[in-house]
Amino acid sequence: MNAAVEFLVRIVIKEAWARKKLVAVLYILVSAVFAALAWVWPQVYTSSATIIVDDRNIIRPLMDGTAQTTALTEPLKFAKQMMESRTTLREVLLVGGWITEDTPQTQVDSLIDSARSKTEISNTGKKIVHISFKDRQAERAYLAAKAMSEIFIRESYLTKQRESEAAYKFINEQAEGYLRKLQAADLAIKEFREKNVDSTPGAMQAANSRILELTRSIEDIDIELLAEESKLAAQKEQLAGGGGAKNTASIEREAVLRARVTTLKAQLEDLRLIYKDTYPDIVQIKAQIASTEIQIRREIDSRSLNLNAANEDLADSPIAQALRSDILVTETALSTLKSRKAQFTVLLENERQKVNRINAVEAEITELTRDSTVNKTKYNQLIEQRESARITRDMDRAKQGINARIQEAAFLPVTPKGLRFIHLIVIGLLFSFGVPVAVVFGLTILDQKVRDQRVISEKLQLPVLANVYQVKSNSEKRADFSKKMMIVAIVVLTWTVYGYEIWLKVQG
Amino acid sequence: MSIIESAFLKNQKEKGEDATEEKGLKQHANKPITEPVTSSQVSGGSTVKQNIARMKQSKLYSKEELSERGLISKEASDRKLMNEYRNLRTNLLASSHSKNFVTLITSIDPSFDTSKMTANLAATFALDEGKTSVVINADVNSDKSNELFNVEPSFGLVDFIESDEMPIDQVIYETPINRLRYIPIGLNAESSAEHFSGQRMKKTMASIVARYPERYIFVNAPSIASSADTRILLDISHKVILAVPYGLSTEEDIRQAVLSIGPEKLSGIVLEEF
Repeated sequence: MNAAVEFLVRIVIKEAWARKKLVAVLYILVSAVFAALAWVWPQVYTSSATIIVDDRNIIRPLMDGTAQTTALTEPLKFAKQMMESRTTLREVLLVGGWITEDTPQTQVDSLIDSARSKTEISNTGKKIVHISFKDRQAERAYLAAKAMSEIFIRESYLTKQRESEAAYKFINEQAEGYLRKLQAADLAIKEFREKNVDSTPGAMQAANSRILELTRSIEDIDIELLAEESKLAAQKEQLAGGGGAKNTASIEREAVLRARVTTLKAQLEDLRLIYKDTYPDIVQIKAQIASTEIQIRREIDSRSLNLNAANEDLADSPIAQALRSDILVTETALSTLKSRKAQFTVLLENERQKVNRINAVEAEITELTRDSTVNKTKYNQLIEQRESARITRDMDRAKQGINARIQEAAFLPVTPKGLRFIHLIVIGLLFSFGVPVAVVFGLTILDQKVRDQRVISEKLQLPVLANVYQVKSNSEKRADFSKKMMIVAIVVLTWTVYGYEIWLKVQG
Repeated sequence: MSIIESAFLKNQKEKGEDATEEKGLKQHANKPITEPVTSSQVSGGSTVKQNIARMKQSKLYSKEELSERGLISKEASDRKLMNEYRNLRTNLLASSHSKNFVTLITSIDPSFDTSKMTANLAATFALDEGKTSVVINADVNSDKSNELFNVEPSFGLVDFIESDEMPIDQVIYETPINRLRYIPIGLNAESSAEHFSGQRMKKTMASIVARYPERYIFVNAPSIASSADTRILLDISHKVILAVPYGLSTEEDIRQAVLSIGPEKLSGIVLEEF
């Protein structure tokens, strides 16, 4: 034994001996108190049930992706919430027979509070929940624990069912909402298309090609118009004597004149070979040439001056008559072309407007189609989800979604739990020794007297010569012995009383 | 005296701490010692022993009587207690400079009576055939010693001090323990009286000490805490033993008592029932 402990034990024994009477009185008192306590201590029975909440059942892998197998994520929390609820506790009280339907509310309230304090919920890991209930009657403890575990199972299923039902309902509503939106969008497209018949698919292309065609036609007409107009101008000029027709006579005269000049010049050249320029023939010829050239110039000048006097030659000529009929034809053609061009231009304008309209319609339709597409995508998704939700709901209805089961059913407790008779007896036996020892020790510490040799030798540094004691005389020894016997007798008597009490309890 | 004890004391002497002391001892040894013999011619330890052996001894305690009174003896079964007292004796002898000395035994608290401790210490010294011891009861309030030694005194120390004619022999009583003599306090003693303060007391003690060199005197004094007598008796004592019983005094009490005695006089502390 440790030296310090040994010293302590020695001191306590010595002090206890020195305070025999106090120790004896305390011993008897403590023993009596605990014996009495043990006798009257209420017995508390505890019944408990164990529940396993597991989502790893066979359904899960089978239904993977199709339905959600949901477990109670926090069974302990769920159980605690459930056991806090008045309805649950009321049901438990009814089952346990504490109350009937007619029990006044105030009494029910206090009973519910006490039931709450008697309930204990704990867990092992995440999936195992223990529910235990304490009561003075074993039967009632059992009934309450049983009821609680059953309510837990029932409520866990109900909760899941409610949850999946609500989820299904929500998704269904959403899906229907989208369906309505989708239908509305499609209808809008239809109506719009009806309103804008032109804007059938391909109308744009047709319009474009038409515009192209029309433009080309107008261009052609323009060319024709130009041709006809120039033709008309030429004919009119011709008719007025201008141009080739008007000067024919003049040109003919000019040609005769030029031929004469040429002849004269050839005569002149011949004469010059023989004669001098002063030769009269030569002078004469020269004068003739000059006057002929003047005439030529006059012809040219008169032609270029376009003298009206010359047209008069044409006025009633057959050429003029032909020209006049030609001009009439040309003018008619010109007029026709102009009216065609005007018509084509109108058509082109129409086509252009149509194209613009088609563009606007296309934009509108794109918008409407986009709405429709979005709604369609959402709706398809929701339909899928709704089916998953439906299966989940059906599974929960069939109690297949989660797997909460009572692992260990509540039992009828045989031995009372908690501080029991036997505990109090043991405590009494221990305390009956412990309390006097503690008191003696306390007193010893309190009075500050020197009880340790070391205090003198080490702390006060005084020489200790010897440690003597009184030799007990025989009579003293006898007295001590009888005192010891007395103590033993008290202890034995106490134990006898305890034994008798135990025997009585066992006998019931 | 045990063999070990003898060896220890011999060793102490051989150290030659004080040669003159040894000389002095021998001189003392030459002086007359025992009562029945006028031994002026005798010298040497063996002679002393012979003389002591001739001490008058009418009746001795039986073993039962000793144990009934809580006194130790050679025959006593309690070897442990015996050894404690022997150690105490060895300690006292080892520190003594003169052959014999006066030891004052005082209690730290008036509630503890040192009569039995004094008697046992004296008896331990007397176990040695070469030594005698005298117990002087100086505690006016205690007549326990009378019971211990089975003595019914007619005179005592106080009577001797007060009277001029009374011979010392008249107050020295024989006890039922070998080589142990007893001087009771006397019948006329009063606790208030300053019996020990006079010169007569000093002379008495000196004469008792001087008379027999192998005689050791043990004075059973009242508690240091309560009695002025004890303070006076300190002067005439060579050694002081402070008896400290278990669980009766605080550290401060002990400190005070040691201060009163004076550290130079205090041989040491004897614990009781620790």
